[in-house]
Amino acid sequence: MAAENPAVRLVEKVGRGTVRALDEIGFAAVLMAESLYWLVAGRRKRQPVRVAAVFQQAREIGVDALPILSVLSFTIGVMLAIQGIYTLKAFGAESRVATGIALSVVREFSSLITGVLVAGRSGSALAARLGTMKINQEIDALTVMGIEPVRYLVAPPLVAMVVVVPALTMWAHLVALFGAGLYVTGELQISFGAYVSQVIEALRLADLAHGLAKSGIFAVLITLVGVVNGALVSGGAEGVGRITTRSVVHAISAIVITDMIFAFAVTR
Amino acid sequence: MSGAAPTIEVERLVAHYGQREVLRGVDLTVAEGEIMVIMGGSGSGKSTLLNHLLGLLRPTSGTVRLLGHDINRLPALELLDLRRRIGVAFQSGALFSSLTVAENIMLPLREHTDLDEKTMAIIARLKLEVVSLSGFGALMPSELSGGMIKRAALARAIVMDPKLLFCDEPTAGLDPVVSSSIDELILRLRDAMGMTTVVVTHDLDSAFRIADRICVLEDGRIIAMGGKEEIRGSRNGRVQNLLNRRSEEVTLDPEAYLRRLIGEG
Repeated sequence: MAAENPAVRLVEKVGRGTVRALDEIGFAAVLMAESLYWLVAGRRKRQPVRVAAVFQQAREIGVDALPILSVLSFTIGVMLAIQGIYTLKAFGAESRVATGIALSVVREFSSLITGVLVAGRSGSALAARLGTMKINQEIDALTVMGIEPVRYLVAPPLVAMVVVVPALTMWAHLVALFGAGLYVTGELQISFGAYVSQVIEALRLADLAHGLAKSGIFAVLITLVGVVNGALVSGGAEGVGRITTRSVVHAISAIVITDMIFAFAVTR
Repeated sequence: MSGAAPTIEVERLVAHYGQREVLRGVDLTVAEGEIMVIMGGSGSGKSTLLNHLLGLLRPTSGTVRLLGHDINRLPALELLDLRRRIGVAFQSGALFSSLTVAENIMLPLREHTDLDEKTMAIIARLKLEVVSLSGFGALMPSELSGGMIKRAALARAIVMDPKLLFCDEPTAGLDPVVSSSIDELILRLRDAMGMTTVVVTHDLDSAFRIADRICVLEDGRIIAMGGKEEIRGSRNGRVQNLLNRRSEEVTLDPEAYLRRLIGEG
């Protein structure tokens, strides 16, 4: 029964939205648990997670993303160098810019830009693929063939993401720092070797771990958001379009919010 | 019929979509090697019944036993094992669009057996031969016509040599020649491999060509069940309407009609 009172309607809407969100989070947790179960126990139960499927996913998520990721991280590196020098000029401290760039890239920007890129490229593709399969009864077909859909469709991309996203983040570190270095050495008239040693001096292992740990979490978030949206599709081809958009928006929001929480919890 | 336990046993199956009751106590048994055709108009509950037979939906009450196992009580892993002995050809084919036709057919073999690649390829070609699709293995499903997709789906359904085969609308939307070739195929599969077959269809010609027994579903209930002659001779008006393609005569209540139109119904 729809209430007449707008205030009551608003409360009802918020309530329904909350229930739905909790429902989806619960579903994501179940998918995660089942994927881990099949990864560990699959071979004994004659439902193995195929290595070939993981590699194929890893190629699609990782290798195919390298060109665009390189362009983006290079650009981010140059951008950070420009802004860093501009900011530090106010204090006459532009010679310390390498420290700022190194920490920003390694702790924050690489994992964030990689996460956003993978969410846009592969999270959405995952949602669209699962959504289309659901609509074409392909997931039913897997079930009735005795092929467990979670182990066949969810576990391989989950493993691939968790391995590949941190690896991509490492690559983004290198490219972004290289791009920043090109600008800094030109602008400040220092040698590239001096820049590199400043960067290495600025970084501790903990900074690297901070960025990589985050990217691992992002990988799980992107996969789960993609598969949950794909599995909950309804309404034909239009529905697939809707959940694809929804999964990108959700994944990027989840990444940004998690990033903040992680930084807050770990850095202080 | 032999004295052996029936391949399919459905008892007092009741199912709901939300609040709406879709199956209202269905009882059905199918003997080994029998071809049972489930008929009924749109919305009669025949697709729902099929989904329950496949274990894709959970009933409100009642039991479904396939090959002697209650599929709603079976532990998950044993259910996966049971499903290896069951083949299903979906209405839309449900071929995996990212795999070629041959890879689609080989998928159950790849996942459930330790056969080497060459043997699997031979079996896949053999099954394509059976459904008269030899030479089409390398194509993608999107490159096939409607009838070819249905035949490829049938090939995938029988690749594990199942004891039990389900076909959802195997001839819907196909021209008469192709549909009669699919009917022939279903009959041949039963004769050659002794498969028990359940076909859901609203194609009358096809139903009467292949059926050993026919079960007519209407509004979630079985209103007639028996051999072809029994169904043809049924005195039930609704069965006759279905057989003679007459539309249901609805007595019109003018007041209710007007209320529906202005949205108060």
